[in-house]
Amino acid sequence: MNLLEVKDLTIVYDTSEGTVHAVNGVSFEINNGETLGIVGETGAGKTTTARSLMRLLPEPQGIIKEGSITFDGKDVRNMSEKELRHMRGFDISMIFQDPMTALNPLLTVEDQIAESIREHTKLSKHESVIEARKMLEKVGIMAERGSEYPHQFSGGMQQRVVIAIALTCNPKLLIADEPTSALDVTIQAQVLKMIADLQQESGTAMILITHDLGVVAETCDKVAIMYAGEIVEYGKAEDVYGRILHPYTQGLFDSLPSLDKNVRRLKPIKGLMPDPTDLPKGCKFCPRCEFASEKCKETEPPLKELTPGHFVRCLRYEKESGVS
Amino acid sequence: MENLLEVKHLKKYFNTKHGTLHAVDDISFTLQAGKTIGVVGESGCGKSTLGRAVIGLNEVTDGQIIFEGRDVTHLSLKERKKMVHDMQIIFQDPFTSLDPRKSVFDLIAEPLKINHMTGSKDELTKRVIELMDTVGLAKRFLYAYPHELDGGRRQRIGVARALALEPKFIVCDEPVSALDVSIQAQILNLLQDLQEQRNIAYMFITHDLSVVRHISDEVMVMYVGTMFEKAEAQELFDHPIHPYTLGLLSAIPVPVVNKNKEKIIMAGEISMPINPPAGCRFAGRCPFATEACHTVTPELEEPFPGHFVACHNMREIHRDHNIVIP
Amino acid sequence: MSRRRINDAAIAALKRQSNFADIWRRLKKNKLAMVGLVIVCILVIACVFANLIAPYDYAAQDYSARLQFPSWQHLCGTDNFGRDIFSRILYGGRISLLVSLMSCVISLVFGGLLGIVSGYAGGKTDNIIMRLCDLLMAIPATLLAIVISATLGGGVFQTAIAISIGGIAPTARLVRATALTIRGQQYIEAARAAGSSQFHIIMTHAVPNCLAPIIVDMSLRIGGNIMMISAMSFIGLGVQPPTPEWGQILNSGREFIRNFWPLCTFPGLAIMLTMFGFNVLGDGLRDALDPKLKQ
Repeated sequence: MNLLEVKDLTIVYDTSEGTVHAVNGVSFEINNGETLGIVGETGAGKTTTARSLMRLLPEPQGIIKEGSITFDGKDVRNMSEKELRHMRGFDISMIFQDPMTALNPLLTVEDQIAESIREHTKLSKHESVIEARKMLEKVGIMAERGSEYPHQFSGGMQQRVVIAIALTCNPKLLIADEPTSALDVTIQAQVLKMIADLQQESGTAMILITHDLGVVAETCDKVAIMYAGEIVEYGKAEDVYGRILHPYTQGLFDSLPSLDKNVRRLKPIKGLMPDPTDLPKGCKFCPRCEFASEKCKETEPPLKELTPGHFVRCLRYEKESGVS
Repeated sequence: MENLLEVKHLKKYFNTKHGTLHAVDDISFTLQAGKTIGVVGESGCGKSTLGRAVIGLNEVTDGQIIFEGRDVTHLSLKERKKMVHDMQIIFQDPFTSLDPRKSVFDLIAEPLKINHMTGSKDELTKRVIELMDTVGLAKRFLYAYPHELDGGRRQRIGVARALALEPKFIVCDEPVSALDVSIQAQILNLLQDLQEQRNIAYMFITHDLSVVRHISDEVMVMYVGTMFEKAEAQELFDHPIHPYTLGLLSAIPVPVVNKNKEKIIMAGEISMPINPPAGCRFAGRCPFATEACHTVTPELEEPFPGHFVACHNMREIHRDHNIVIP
Repeated sequence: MSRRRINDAAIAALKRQSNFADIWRRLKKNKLAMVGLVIVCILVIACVFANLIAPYDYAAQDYSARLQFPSWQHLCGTDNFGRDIFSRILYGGRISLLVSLMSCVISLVFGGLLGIVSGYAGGKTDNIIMRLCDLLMAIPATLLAIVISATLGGGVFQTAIAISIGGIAPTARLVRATALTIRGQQYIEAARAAGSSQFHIIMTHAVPNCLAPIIVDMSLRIGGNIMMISAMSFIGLGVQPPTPEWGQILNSGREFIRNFWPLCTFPGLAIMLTMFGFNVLGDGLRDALDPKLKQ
């Protein structure tokens, strides 16, 4: 059984300017210990998807309209407030891009970790602080520094502390929303390595949300490429990076300057992401797609499993015999 | 060919509560018209300070800046205003570098108005629309406000503002870091097109090594205010010598799935250069550091023509890989 | 998602509008602000043309008609000397509004100037100006106004100055705080890179971006100032009787509040209406000045 199963998830935001179609029929699943990378540009619906998994959408604008979220055999959409709190505390943790906003500037680092430990266990104050120091060592911070305040730490160190807090309760799933985007490359490499090591040790599954195809290649087992609230390509990382199917995925790769090839000009995707209050009728990517035909404007392409485990949402592969 | 810009032993120090911050410490380089020098480094390495000092937004502590054969290091306010025509800057964040209360027209017209470059109002409007056309902004945005536009379009406004005075040299301070990859590629292409058409020289400051390789003719690697390595872009990326460059290159996540890749992970973090002691500033993080690295500041050497490196142990480090450095 | 969709048809219709036209267009859409504007306009016009509108002389006493309740002859009744309250409110508005606005402007000009210089220059200048402001703020505003008024003597202009001094320090602090946040913005540096002089940057970037909190503060201050004027008249300073003034009329009604309500109610209403009008207009103006707000 999968740890998390999301099926046909559709989320809208009701705003004064109209209905924002943030997520449109997203499906994916994660097994224990697996890492799924969700890649997309700003406004693709990555963060909305992740927040909905913990039912943390802004109320009352954010509405899950359709679909199911099953975590550990339980239906998240129908959970009571009490069950949700339990799930958020024990089963799923989330870390965000900016660590400073996630830490309380008035508490020492070890106190913050200890507090989160005490929420989940029956340890005494003293025991929980000792536990917190062990946690700090685990994320690569010397235990002596536990009595310092968050602002005395660099961005990379703060993110380590946030990760320590997120992992105190040994969650089954960790959702990381652009955890390293604000960090320098050398620090990013340190933090990613640390996350991977801890994950291997504890068997925690992870959803990594990022815009960086490189980060995904180095850390994820599975990839979902999102565009305008839809998953346009989905599969094992080796498969997707090995054989790029969707024109949007190809466009993302072409936009990246290479480190070892000389190209005179990059090949960007023309145009912009469509307005989420007014999405095109057929394929959402069709106005920007170089392969678009008349049919693409009319027909919404289904997500097709072309080779086992490798899905694509594009009419170009309509005639190919997929996996049935 | 004559150099457009020559920077000699540039130093910029700041006085802080804790001591003197050596933000830029003895940086020299030259730049020819129509060429690009890339400056890479992590946040806090002084690359932005360097860029601002070169175009005179920051007063220089020591050193010399020579532009078109003229010493422009210390200029009077009046002369400085004239230099604005030749040297411009494009900022990183298109969200904060544009006044939210001004329309696109006002924003692009501002440099023209300040420098009295226009006659009548019609002429001004025409010039603004011309500039918008150059940077690929549709005319219909003329009276839009920045918050109504996406990041890419905003950055185009930033580019148009910089181009308005037809400069010969532009400092691009992380102009694409805040943008999505597909938009980033559009802006990079725009910058390259403009360079070809107008023979503008760029100083391209970024933390993104792949971007710097793509756009630069020459690349300089900075660390805590000092220059560690400088070479032609291709040479630097094909044959990196300095251990910091090696670590930096290894740390970049590459979009290729290869589970068995070995990474050099540098321990530690960048430190603040407040009253820095003698010695290599990277010594604390360097896996190859020896006694000398902590006490003697390495000199900039030129082991290969045009390839400058500041490292005591470069010969020893590369000997294991059968690379002989003269 | 905050991006507004740009409608081509609307753009085609878009012509160059001056900043004022733009602000006016946005202000017009705000109904409450328009109500405020109408109230303020009516008040100002009524007071300016008091000599044409007022049915009686403000000082004309009629002892046969003292403490009359409102009637068609005396719209708001008469006071304890038999003077027409409506006429007195109209004439009194001249003084109240004029002095209040004048002292507002004086506080704004000096406070704003000090604040901008302080916030923008920073360092020693900032320190000196702010310590001076602290000194000024340590003295209660009413006490300060009384002392200055006693020194300068009565009269419209003198009273305005007396009241404005207490407003300088808070205004300076407010403007400085705003200027500080704006100074750190990158568009200030961008303007510098484009060759702007400091003066130009302050006038075109710093001031417009500082306006919002100042306008709100000013609209609140107008009401406060009217109260201050009446406090001054109460202790015999400020504008001298028989020149009417709202606070003064209100005060004179205190004795009769139990059995004759009009003398307190009508000047009170006038003050309330003024404050409401200016506050609502101020809020609307702040929003109209900000192109970022949705209409």
